[in-house]
Amino acid sequence: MTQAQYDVAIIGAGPGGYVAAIRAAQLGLKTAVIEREHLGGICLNWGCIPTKALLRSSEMLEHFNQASDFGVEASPAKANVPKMVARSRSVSAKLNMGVTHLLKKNKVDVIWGEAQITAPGKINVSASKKPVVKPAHPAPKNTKGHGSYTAKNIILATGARPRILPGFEPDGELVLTYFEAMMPQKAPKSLLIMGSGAIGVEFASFYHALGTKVTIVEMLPNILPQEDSEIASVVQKAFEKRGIRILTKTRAEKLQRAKTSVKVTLSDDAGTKTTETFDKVISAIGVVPNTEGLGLEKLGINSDAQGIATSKFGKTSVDGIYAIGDVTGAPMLAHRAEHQGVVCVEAIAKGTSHSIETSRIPGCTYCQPQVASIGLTEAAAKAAGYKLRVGRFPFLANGKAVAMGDTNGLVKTIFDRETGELLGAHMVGSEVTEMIQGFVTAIGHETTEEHLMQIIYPHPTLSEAMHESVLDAFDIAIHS
Amino acid sequence: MAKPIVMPQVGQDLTEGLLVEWNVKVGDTVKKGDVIALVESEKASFEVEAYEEGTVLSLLYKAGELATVLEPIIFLGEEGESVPQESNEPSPVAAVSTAAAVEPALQSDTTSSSSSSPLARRIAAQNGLDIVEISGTGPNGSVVKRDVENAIEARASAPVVASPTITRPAAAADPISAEAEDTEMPFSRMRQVIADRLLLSKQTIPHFYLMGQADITELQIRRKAHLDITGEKLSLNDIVVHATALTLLEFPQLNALVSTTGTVLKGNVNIGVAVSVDGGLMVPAIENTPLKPVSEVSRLIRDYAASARRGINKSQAKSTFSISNLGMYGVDVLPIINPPEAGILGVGAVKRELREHRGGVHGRDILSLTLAADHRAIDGAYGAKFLQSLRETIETYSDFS
Repeated sequence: MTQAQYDVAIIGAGPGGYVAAIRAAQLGLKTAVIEREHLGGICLNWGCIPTKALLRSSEMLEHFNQASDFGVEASPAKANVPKMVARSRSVSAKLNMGVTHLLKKNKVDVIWGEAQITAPGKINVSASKKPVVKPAHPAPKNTKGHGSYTAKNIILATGARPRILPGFEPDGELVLTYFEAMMPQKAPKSLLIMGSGAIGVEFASFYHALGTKVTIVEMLPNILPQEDSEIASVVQKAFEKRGIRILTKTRAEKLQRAKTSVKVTLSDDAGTKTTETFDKVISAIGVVPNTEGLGLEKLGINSDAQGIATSKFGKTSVDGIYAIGDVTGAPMLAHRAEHQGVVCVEAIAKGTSHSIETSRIPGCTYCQPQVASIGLTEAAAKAAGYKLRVGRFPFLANGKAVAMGDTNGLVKTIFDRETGELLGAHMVGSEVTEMIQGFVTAIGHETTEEHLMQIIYPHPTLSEAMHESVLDAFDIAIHS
Repeated sequence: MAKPIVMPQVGQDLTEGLLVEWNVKVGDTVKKGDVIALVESEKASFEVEAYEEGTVLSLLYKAGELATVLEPIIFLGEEGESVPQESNEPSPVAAVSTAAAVEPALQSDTTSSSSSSPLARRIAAQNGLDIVEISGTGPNGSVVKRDVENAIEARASAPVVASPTITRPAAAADPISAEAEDTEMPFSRMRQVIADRLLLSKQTIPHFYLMGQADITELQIRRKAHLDITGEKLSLNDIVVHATALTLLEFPQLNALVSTTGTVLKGNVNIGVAVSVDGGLMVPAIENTPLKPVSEVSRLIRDYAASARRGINKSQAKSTFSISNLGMYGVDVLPIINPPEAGILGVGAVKRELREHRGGVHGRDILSLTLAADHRAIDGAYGAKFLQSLRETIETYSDFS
């Protein structure tokens, strides 16, 4: 057999794929990454990053409108929606260029097109059949084109796409997925958001700030169903106080499209049905792995609706083919994909790597107030049979939060009563997405309550609430 | 390309050895198997044989110097060839082919560790384990929670022969003249009992061994589901003990006590579970094992094991069949029968293996099982049927209530 062209070929240049490619290059492997649409994937082009840019705009708007409470007189601020969108797109374009440079610097070949694995070690790249989401960033220069390529190891990093509920197929005008939802020309008067996961609540925060009347429907009893219910209820109350309407235990059943609005039939768990009119609908009911068109069935790679099944280092059921990121199922998070990519490539190059403990992957949601968490929720810890010590500390009793005028927040810590292990940490409030890393490090190093109590937190910071929450779990909080 | 020959690992935990003398010099031609050097550890000297051939390009140490083990001491190659200056490790690319072929599921980066996490230390202390004796799988071989949990599980169902603790001999001031002292260790009373009984067993019982495997992939899922639903943690060992007891109900000749003239088939099935204790082992028995719910069996095993480690045998029952589980150490076991019983089950490691399953190739969890039986009382086919039946009982085990 002739020598394979690449040691590693990675299909998909999202956060999992491009990070894996760079790590592979660092390890001396000859590496290619195959991408059909945009370097950086959904995260960087249509997800995490551009939505953070939009939320920055909407938060700035809200700050301006609260300015007089802080002794700053300003004329009422108003949103320039096209400019917000333009800024968001330019942020994404900038980072997209950054990935191009990083890959080039590390001598990773970029192959432009849609990949299909024809046999283990063989990939055919042809024109993408997927319509490109516009406006697309320009394709990088000096990419390799369509044709056949060979690689000793192939990593699938094809990501996921929005899940579509039959009858609610997106049309780009009235029924939107996150793609269209992050490029409004103006704020709609009314908006229905289906689903209250991270995507749903972030768009709710954004559109509410623009003046849109937002309704969220969630089938489950709580919004943010993945989060601790106590934390979710803080968000729910904050949303409702601001005027965001939340319908839990409710599903959107039927949709009728008119010219500039839609009629949606909502049904609650008692079976009561109401029909309401909205200008737009955002469907944010989850994502599904992109497993199609890759030739998986023919190769005998095990996959189902949850994604491709892999071993801890990303190996699929077929030798030489690996999978990482959203295509391997939940939790679908960019930082998990990146880490899986690194671990997978290290295992290819060195024979071993470290394993990823799913229970130690943090999650962040950027609605207002923000939510950040790691580990088990209280309910999950109880269900797992642990005897618990639970600490809570509200921002209301934190000096920095009071000074900032931002006291709606809570830090909740959950310990195993027997061993002092920090099983979970859950936070809601300003800046918590930056603070969670403190607990992530603690859990990663397997510290116990003793160490968390003994280390010193700087004053005045919101992080002091993390300390107090730990103290509270053992009934020795100072400021409560 | 110049090929190195490395300093052999001349003793456990040894990082350096003394290069006593060279038998070759630069320019000599060396064949495979030639003795090229004499090296010495604190305890013994060794001849270093060439496992490559070629012309000696360079000697990296002089006689009388200390050489680092598993590092090159000599380079062989074509005459006139240059010696690599840096590392002679294979390039990462070369490593790819082997890495792809062998799924590195069983991590080999377990090293004896000097560090441990606070949580690991606390759980170890709560369970009376010495953290130093646990090998770590965390960053840089540090001991983390999962390592301690594995060690606790390991101890709950312990080896037939207690593993001696290997400690590193204190470094002598002068490695050349140092002579390590021998230590006389008279048998403790427990050790004497173990010695007498196992000698009797090996000398008088015609052991034969049968080995089987059980695919426990689904069982592991059910066990996890049981944990998720009820919060009750059952170890694999608990289930194997219970499943063995249930299977023995149908194989009375294995649940028996054997003498030189005949066999007594025992009415009750009392499984003896070997527990490693300081300086030996004990085998507390679970009375009427098959008639108890597995949760009760699990509780008793833990309770008896904890007492055994304090030197107390809390169990009143006499065992009729024993189980020795060494799987947590990643090894398979050929156990010695606990006389006068007719058989003993050795429970080995669970290995993730690629198996054909439902028309595809899947990673499956495979448990290895060894039956040692007394050939005076039972024959191979009977033992094989037992092992076959046990395998089915384990694979389909769902009796969690």
